[in-house]
Amino acid sequence: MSAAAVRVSGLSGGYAPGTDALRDVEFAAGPGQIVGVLGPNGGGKTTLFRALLGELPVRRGDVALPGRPAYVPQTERARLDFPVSALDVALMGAYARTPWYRRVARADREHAAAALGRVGLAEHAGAAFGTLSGGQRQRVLIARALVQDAEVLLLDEPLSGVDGVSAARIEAVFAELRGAGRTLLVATHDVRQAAEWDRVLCLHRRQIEYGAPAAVLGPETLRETYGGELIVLPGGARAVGVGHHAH
Amino acid sequence: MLAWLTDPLTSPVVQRALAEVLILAIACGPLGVWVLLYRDAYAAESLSHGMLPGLVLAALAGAPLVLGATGGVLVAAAGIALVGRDPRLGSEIGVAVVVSALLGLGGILALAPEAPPRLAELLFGDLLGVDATDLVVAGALAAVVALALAGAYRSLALTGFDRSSARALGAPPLRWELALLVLLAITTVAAVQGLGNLLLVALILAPGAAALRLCRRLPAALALAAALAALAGIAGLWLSFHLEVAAGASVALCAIAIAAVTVPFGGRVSH
Repeated sequence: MSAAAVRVSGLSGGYAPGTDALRDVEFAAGPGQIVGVLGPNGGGKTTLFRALLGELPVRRGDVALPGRPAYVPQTERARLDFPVSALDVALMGAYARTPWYRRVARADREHAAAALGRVGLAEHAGAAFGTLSGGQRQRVLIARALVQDAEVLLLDEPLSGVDGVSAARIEAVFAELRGAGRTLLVATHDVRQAAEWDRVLCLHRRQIEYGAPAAVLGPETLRETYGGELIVLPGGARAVGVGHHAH
Repeated sequence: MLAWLTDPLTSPVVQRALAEVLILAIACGPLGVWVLLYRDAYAAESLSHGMLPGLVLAALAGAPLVLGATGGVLVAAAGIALVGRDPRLGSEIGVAVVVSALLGLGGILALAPEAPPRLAELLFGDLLGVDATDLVVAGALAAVVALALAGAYRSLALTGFDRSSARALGAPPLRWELALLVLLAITTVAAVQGLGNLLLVALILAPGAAALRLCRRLPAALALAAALAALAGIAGLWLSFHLEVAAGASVALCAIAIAAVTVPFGGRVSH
């Protein structure tokens, strides 16, 4: 890899004074790479994203990024009772580049409509966000990240609990972004899915392993990552974390 | 019928009161929409009730109420922030403790033998007693709030809709949550002369609640809330004129009535 898009060196930090929620994280990901971020609940996946967003008190190490990353939260983080349409939400991706005294540019309005089209929701542009299904809401939040047009995208379990149509659309968008040279960090519980991506980062309050899936996803690493939460099925990487389907 | 509508306008007292409620409606209506979306309704109630000692002290000293209100809101906000930091209490209990204490303190001050008999005016406002200076002060404060809300529209929307992503999208959430509380405090100070510290909350929250039930888009909700607050003000003044009941209380009741009428239109999706 020539120029790394995301470079994290010796990162440790956390919100509570004196305790590191996450420590010893060290990896670099290049343009056009999808990194699967694996780990149990509370293992530090969201904490890592908070650090990359500049919201985590970092005690040691540092983070280098090409500009502000786009962040796609788990859908339940967004308010269902907020009076916005799908298009309004997609348009929020353009707010940071719109001065407060200006209207959102026409090009950005077109960009937002096109982004909804890319996630397969063109005909739902006017629908109230709260009336959409979970998978559709996830796609709207991804459209918002597309409008933001960042080099690096952080996605927090974008495929958890979404319907098949939504999952297929989301994976197609990932492929497009990878082709366009964007870097994606995707938190996931699905080891099999991560095995198809370019890199995997295994976290359990610290970095367990980072590298190509074939090299990293052995039973030993998975056991260390998931501890007692994991059932390893026969066949190596065919593994599922348990106890995380509640949400 | 026409006379019923135009008669109140012949009185300069009603004219000034009308100007006051229309000015307040421009700030209170849209602010209420944000306060509800940010789930700050309890803070709105608390701030306005907690400023009573400041109001009483201003009345005792013969100082302008707006000064007492400002001091009272600052003390209430500081108290709430301090007590709320104690994790054993939690913010809601902290607010209840501080507000009850401040209301009690205000009552003791107001009911002391040497206090002028103005407690009712402080609690319920004196809409028909506003003078030109009050109008100018309320107008300036309401203008600040309305312009700030318009300028901060996108940042407030980012933070309110999805706090976890707001910073990545350009709006540090803590900053805008605090900004909304500051605007709430300014509005409270602006409205206390006309509506009193017990009733002003109605003109902030009720039109916003009605507008959020009827509208599916934010700009429409903000505009409708201002219009409904103005409607409540006009209707309340007219009722008070013809039925000879307290003006501020009539306005507050009209605002609540408007919100009650919209209850069947459950446009909001419950979370």
